[in-house]
Amino acid sequence: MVVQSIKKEVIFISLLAFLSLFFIYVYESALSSEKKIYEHIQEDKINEYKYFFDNFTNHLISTYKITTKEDFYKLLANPEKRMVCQKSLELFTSKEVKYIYILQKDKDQKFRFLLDASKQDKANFYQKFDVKDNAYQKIYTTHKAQIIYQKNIQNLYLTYLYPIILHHSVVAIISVDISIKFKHDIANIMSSFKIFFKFLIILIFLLIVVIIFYIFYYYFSRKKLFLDPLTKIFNRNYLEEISSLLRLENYAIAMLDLDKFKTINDIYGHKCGDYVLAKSAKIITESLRNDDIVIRFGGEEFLILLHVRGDARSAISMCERIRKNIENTTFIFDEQEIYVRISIGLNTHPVEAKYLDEAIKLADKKLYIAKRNGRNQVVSSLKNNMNILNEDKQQKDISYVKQALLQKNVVCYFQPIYDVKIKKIIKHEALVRIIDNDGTIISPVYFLPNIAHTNIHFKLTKEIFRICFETAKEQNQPISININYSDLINKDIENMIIDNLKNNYELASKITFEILESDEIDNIELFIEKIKTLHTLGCTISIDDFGSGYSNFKTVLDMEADYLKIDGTLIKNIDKDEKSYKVVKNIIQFAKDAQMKTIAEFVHSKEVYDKLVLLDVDFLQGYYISEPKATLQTEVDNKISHPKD
Amino acid sequence: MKLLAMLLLYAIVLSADSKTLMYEIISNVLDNLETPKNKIIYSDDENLLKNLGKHYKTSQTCQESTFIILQKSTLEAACKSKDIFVLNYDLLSTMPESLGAFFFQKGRANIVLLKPKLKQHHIKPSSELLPYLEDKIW
Repeated sequence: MVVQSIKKEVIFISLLAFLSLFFIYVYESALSSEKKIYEHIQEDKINEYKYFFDNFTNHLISTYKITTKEDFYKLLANPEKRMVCQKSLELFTSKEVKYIYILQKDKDQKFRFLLDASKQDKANFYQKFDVKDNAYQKIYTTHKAQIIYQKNIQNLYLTYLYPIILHHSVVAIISVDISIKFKHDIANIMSSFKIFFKFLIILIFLLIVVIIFYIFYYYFSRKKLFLDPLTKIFNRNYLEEISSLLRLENYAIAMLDLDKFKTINDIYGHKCGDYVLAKSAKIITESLRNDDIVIRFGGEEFLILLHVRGDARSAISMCERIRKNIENTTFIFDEQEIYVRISIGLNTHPVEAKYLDEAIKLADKKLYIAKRNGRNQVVSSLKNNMNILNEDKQQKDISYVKQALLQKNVVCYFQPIYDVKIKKIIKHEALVRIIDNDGTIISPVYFLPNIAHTNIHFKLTKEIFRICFETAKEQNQPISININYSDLINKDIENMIIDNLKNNYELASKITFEILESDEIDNIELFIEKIKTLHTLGCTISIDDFGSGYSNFKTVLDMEADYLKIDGTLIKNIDKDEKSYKVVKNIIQFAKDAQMKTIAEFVHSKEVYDKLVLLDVDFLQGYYISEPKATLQTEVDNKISHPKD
Repeated sequence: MKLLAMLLLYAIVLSADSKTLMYEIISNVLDNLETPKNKIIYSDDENLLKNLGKHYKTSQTCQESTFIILQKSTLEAACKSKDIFVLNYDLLSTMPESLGAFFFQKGRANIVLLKPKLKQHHIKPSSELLPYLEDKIW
């Protein structure tokens, strides 16, 4: 993580350096472009002089038939002819051209005036002229015009030296001293370009400033981005940020969930809920080491990446420490003592999962088991990690179920419910299955837990209902359908039930909804209200798995259920386990008193069957009677002999 | 020669301070002219005279001097036989007695020393001044 942080800083600094270099580049380019444009304009102006001097010298040479250096000297030594030439040259004097004159180098290498067309500071014919710049000598060797940039000689900007060439030899030089006005004139032309470049530079500078500001803003606010403001621990953004960098072999993953947090919120209010969350986060953080990472995963759920140093058991003891620390802490809000407990699911070997999400899902499953087993405990994958992984291979994910729904591969198997007294099948319980692409029948244990509370779960429920309603209608047979609390309060499902059963009493009377006992029922009033709706439609209600879950007798009575299905875990050992026998006996008595018919599921042997008959159970269900089948059955698989027979 | 050339070039480069440079160049020219008598300088340019006074003996009158530097053409007749150096090229012609000149031509510092006049006054220029010798006034 630290290495990554350093890497990001390096990237950040490099980006800043790049932007700075980019700005310098733009600035330099603008300056150089400005300079180039300036030079171009200057070159154009100088070319005008060159063009004129070409014409002037050609005219002299042709008019006066000059062939040698001496001819040239003789021509200009003649005052009359010199005057004529001077007049021609004077035409080109202006505010820009301060001095214009012709020089010739004598045998002693001294430069002398042959002609001076300047309007001021005029030199005499053949007067010596002390010139020191190398350009005057260079023009004789290169035969090329030279430019001398002057440094404030009487407001001179530059001197342009033009060679008069005869037979590949320089015979004289036309020298033009150009005033600073020339520079000013170009500067005037350049002013619009300069404004443009200045604007461009300022614009790019501002752009870079804005970019740098945003980089700084991002850099300094990214920590905020990854922190949960309430608990001051990392949030899921951080998990996403680091997920690609995590080396799962170095970590165990724990999913933590505060037990009955919703109840705390409901009883003490959200402020108290926030207090509990913040304090729990603090306890969790303080229970861990520096290299463990705590993330608020969502709501009252936390995820911990426990850094494992060799032995995975250390992760279990860390989780146990957290659980005890929470348990032993007194949470006081508004002078009220609040008892907070936490359930923890631990995946000790996340590296065995393909992806982080998969590893988290496994920890979540363990958390689910911890919740189901009574909360306030740590459930680890350490012992049966491989089993879970093997099981996991058979597990079908949400996309599998989605695909099955699309391909109409969702079917119902039906298990008969047998009336002991009349010795007949009186109805069937619908049990969902998915037909795999290879024809294998997939049991719900492999897909239902993975889609719990998802939209796909509700879609699946609707599909089961559709199948059951059709089967009951077509075959004129009663069918029991399982429904849980979340289905019951789902508006879409409720509407579907109402659409199919309202004003269709014949069908409604054939449908029994088996309500699963569940710890999810957080609104008893709503739950009872929904059951009443089902009653009103003409359906019968059965309480499923009675004796295993909450078994709130008051709620059971309020439900006014028609049937009470005794949980299979009590039934399966009734022939051997005295306690189970006594519990079942009492449940049956309670059901009779409450005017509910009893159904015993998990009837798997003759011994169990006989015991249940003796206890006067109304209906039986199980493999001893008949296994679930794709179609409704009229006869039971076994020839059942009643003890009284 | 090199020093003088550098000064001339310097005079071009930094003409803003051309007066100071002019004084230095003239001082240099004087150093390189070997005269029969000790140089007692007189000039109608007070600043120049003051400046040259740092290195040479100077005089406030032309009569007491041996070497005269003029920027104007007015000079007592009694002084006309002395060594006269002028600060304008045209003065060379208007004052035929003058033996040389220092002046700015088109912004460039120029020195002219007339060979016949130097000979006439028994003045020997050093080798540094040879490029500035002229046989006549053009």
